[in-house]
Amino acid sequence: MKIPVIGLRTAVAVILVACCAGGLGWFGMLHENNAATPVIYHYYQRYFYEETETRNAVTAILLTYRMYDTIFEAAILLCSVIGIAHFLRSDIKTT
Amino acid sequence: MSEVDRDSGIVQSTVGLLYPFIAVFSVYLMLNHTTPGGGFQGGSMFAALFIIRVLGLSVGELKVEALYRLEKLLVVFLALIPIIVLFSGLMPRTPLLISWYLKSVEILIGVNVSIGLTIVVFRFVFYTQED
Repeated sequence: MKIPVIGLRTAVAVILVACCAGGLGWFGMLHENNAATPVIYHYYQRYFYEETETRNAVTAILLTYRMYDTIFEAAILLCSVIGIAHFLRSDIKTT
Repeated sequence: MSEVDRDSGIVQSTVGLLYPFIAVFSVYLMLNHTTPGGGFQGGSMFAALFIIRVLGLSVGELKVEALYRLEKLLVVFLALIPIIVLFSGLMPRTPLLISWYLKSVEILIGVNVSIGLTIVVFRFVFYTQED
């Protein structure tokens, strides 16, 4: 019975990935109490009606302040449809 | 799909009964723009309408290629309308435009999602029918 030996390259890769993940997590936690978040929160709460005339703050954020998010969600749906149509069609033609 | 009895009277009458309710509820979800997030849900319900129409009522095939072209056109419009309205600076001054903008964007999202889901389901249905 042969025990699998982890090579040096694999060990280094695992350590590097762990360090990167830990560092990213630490970096994210550093900015958790950033002063920018409450400012944006208060800004939306205060000015959303004057700026967008929308009666709901979440609708104002989704459809005006962060419209790019909605546009690219639709684009992602189009990409997935293109992928499915392309792959299934090519399969049907070859078989 | 070949084992499914498409001419079943129970399925046909149930689908016929549910059909208008699904249509009305999906349009209601899409047009109720004061609360957030109606487009995707209304669109998926509208896709269910197309799907039960073919699977339950055994109506002929939809033209998937035309739907595919329409989907691409709708994504272009969905990108153009917000860019024109939001970047032109008309937003805070004209409440009527904002109301129409929100309605049109929700309807575009809904139709886009419904066509996308319909294409996906039809691809899979006709793909499995080929075997």
